[in-house]
Amino acid sequence: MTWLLRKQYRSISAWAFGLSLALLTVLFLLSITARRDAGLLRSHHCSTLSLGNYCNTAVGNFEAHSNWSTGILIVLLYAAPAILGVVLGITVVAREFESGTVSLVWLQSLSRTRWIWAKTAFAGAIAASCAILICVAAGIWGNDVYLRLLSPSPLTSRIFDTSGIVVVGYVATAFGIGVLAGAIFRRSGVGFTIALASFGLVRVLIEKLLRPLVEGTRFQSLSVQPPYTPVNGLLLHEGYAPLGSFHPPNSGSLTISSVCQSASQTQSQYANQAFTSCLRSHGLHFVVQYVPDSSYWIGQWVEFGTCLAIAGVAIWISRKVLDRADL
Amino acid sequence: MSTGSVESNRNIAIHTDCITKTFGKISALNNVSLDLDKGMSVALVGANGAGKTTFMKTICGLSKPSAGRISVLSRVPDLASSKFVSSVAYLDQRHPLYEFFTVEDTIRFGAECNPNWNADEASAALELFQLSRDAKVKGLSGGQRAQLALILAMYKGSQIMLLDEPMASLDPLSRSLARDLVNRTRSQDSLLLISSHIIGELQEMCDFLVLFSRGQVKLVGTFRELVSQWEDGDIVTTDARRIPNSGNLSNDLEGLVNAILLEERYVSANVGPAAGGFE
Repeated sequence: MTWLLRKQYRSISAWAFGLSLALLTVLFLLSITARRDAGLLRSHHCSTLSLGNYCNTAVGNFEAHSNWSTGILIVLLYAAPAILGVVLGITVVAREFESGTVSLVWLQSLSRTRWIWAKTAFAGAIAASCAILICVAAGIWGNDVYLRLLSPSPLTSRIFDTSGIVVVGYVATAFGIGVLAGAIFRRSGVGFTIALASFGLVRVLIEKLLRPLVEGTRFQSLSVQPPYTPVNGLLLHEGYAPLGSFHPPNSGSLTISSVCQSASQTQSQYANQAFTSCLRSHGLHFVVQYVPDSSYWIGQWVEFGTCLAIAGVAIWISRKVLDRADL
Repeated sequence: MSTGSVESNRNIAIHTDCITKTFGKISALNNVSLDLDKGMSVALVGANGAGKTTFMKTICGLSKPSAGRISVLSRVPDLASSKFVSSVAYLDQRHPLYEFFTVEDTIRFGAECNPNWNADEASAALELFQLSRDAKVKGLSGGQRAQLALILAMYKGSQIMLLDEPMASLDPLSRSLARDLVNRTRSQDSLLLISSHIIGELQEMCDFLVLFSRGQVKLVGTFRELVSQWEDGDIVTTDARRIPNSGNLSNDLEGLVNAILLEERYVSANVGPAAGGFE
């Protein structure tokens, strides 16, 4: 069986590993220049961009320099797990149906159950290996350099989604959905399109429904004068609230109390002592709502586990579909 | 209900009880009840769309009946059961093979997947058909693919062999070799089912004949019984009502037999062993 699978997956595994290694190589090479640029920014104390925009010019230059490559590579880092997973998943069943070899292989002395599990395990192992390569690539390039610098919290979607153990989970989910689409539609083209769309939907649902449940939010009162207190987390909302309250009004917008508006207009808004005094005299303080960075690994493991569960369910349903298949 | 029982002894290999298979509004099998014993070799004949292939696929578990019961060696067909799939070999009429394999790979595939694989006989058959072991499957002709697929099915070591039009794309010499191969491989413990439109060849490989028409079994008997009813020189198409046990053949069946015979050019052939069979 192993021999057959090796023969069957020789070309597709070469493609999958080739794609992953190419991505790894490109990201590794980019990381060299990225580290140099990041070093320049850090020398100007712009390594943290939590609050304030005093590094705007430096960051703007940095982004202008790296924008195209960052954009393309982020797209690749999002797309690669999906494409790899779905393509490898589709091959488990749909290609056998397309070539008509289902009636050949299902009637050999190894049972269909064994055949399905062996193929799933083999193709899944290839997908997982490629996912680990992508994960390493994203780690080398993005985690500490480009993405961390531009988006300081690892909980920012583009960092969280493209690094860490969730990448392996996403590949697993895409793989499971690919297997299921292959079993249902029995055609690679149709199956690939629908599996990819379904995977996108699953990703959105995870991000919108699961992630907020896992990542608990916190509130913190911050000084509006230098030295600023960095927020070690993903900033969600910020605003002015009465002393003793940690709920900023009108989430998502920076609301400057009208009572201190005149004071805020005399100088720059944050470095204004009169403004701060005005806020205090009116019993207000500056509040941020954020998700602490310490939630990163909890979120990663929960999402990874959820993705594996979705993949497992999809493969289980595939088996049920095949049990009822009629040739 | 169409019923048939071909008994050589009571060692039943396949038992079907009122099986029906529908595809939408089309009824591919309609209440087929048939008992086939071990040691038999049975020819399935009938016009295109008569239900022969569906019957074979239902027997081997590739297709599930819409109604009715099937027992194959006292088991319900189940592709998830290694015992069941070990006991049944099926040659698909499309001869599916892995295109990226060589002939050698294909034989190795048979050996790797089947513990009862008869390696010596398979090698001998390769020599017989003069198939190069290094040849790529995708480069084989239709006839060569049929030969390779036949080897894969015949030497799997199964008790039940279902061959769906195994000779369809073979040249006359290869057909003769394939017939010899099939006859050599038959045993008292096995059941052989072959579907074909070439009655003459079936007669050389099979003892029994089952005629399918519009999803029903219309006729069951031994070739010997059938042939004894005709005399040399009979033109079968004009004498369909003389088929034994056919007593009250319906108009549909008469038309069917005539159609089969006309389609397959039996019309001009004389009947009887001396005349070389029905073809």
